[in-house]
Order: sequence, then C-alpha cells, then structure tokens
Amino acid sequence: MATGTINLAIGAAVLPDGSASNAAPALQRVKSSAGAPTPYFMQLAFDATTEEQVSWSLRMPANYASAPILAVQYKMASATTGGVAFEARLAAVSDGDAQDVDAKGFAAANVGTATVPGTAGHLDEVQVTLTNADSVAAGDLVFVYLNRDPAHASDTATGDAEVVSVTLLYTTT
Amino acid sequence: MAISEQGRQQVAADLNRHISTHGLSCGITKADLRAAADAIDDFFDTNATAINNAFPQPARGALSAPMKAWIVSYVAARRAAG
Repeated sequence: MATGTINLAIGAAVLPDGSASNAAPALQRVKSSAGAPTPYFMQLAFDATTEEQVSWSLRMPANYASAPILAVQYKMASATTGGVAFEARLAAVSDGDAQDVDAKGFAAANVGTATVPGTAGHLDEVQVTLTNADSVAAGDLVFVYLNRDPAHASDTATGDAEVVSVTLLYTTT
Repeated sequence: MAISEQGRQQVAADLNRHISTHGLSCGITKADLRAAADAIDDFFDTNATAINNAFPQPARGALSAPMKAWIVSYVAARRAAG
C-alpha cells in the first residue's frame, strides 16, 4: 500500500452560479512580484463572511483502497492571527448505480481547521479527513466539494483565504 | 441612530473585503474587527451632538444628517488613504 495522489487543478474548479447558497469564490490569476521570469498562478479567494464553494469531478483511480484526505494549501490575504475552517464533501456514483447523476447530492460534511500563519501570504496546509466519503470506491464518478465555513467557531481570521492547491490523497491497494 | 444589525454585518463584510483587496495586514480576529466597527458606530451615537457641533454654520443648520455623515466618511477615508 502507498499514498495515491490526485491533483485537483485550481483552474478546473467548477464555480457555482451565484444563486442563494451557491456563492463562488473569486478565481484569480496572480502575478508574483518576483523579477522575470515571473511566476503566475491561479488561486481561489474564499471570503471571510460569505460561504463560498467550488467542486471538481473525477473518476476514482483503480488503485483506490481507502482513507481519502483532501489536502488544501492556502495563504491568507491579510490575516496574521486567528483560524480558518475548510469543509469538504464527496459524492460518489458507481457504474450501474440506480442513481440519476443529475440529481446526486453530497454526503455529510467533513471539516478541517488550522491556525493561520503569522505572516500574510505565507503558505499553510489543512488536511481534511474525509470520514464521510459516500462509500466511494475505485472506478466511481466522484464530485469533490470544498468551501470555507466562515460561520464555524474556528474560522476567526479576517479577509480572504486564498487556496492555491487542492489534492485528494488516499491509500492505494 | 445606530446602524441596524444587518447594516453592521454588512460593514464587517465590507471591511473584510477591503483588507483583502488592498492587502492590508490585520492582526485581530473577525470578531474583534466587528467589535471595533460596532464601537465606532456606538461612538457616533453617543457623541452625535458633539460631532454635529463640529460643523460650522451654515452647514450645521442646512445639511441633513446623512449629508453630514457623508462628509465625515469622505474625510475619514482621505485620512486613511494618507
């Protein structure tokens, strides 16, 4: 057994339509202040007071066995104190399931929290253990949901939480 | 009259948006930032008479309360911008 890795590209995130309870974070292109050649990267800026969400879709690899974890790398736009709370959900559909994919919902939330770095812009990682994994299995169609929960008791940091990478980790067969 | 609860929530949301947009370092929590904004709103209420008396005539007598609030807002914003 080993650790499998699925990178969920920031640019591949599906943003909701902005209707009630479907707010989206800002998808931003960032230019580093370093000199040429200058790195550019994408980030998702999650608001401090409005709950915003994104999702991805993928086919779970054939070597998936168990223990999915969502690793979220982020930095704070301005906060130097407090905490942040990220919520992750899975929705899994197996080939042959009596499930209308267009009507599929997410399983219960999984939450991961962290104290933000003492300097804005510094990188931190939150690993959200996906205990509620909707019985996901190898070969499933999987929807992955991520939001920042600004109402969570541990989400006390001001300003945007800027997510720069999201990775789905799991134990392989 | 103090801002409504919904208004105060909007002020807090706007402040969080502002500090993110402008990359302003913030060393206090969301709750502390909200408390600070609420305290300033309370200050305006408590000191309404003194603030009104700071306006010279004819402004004091001729301008509406909202117009006076805009003057305070613009002056404070310019001071914040440096």
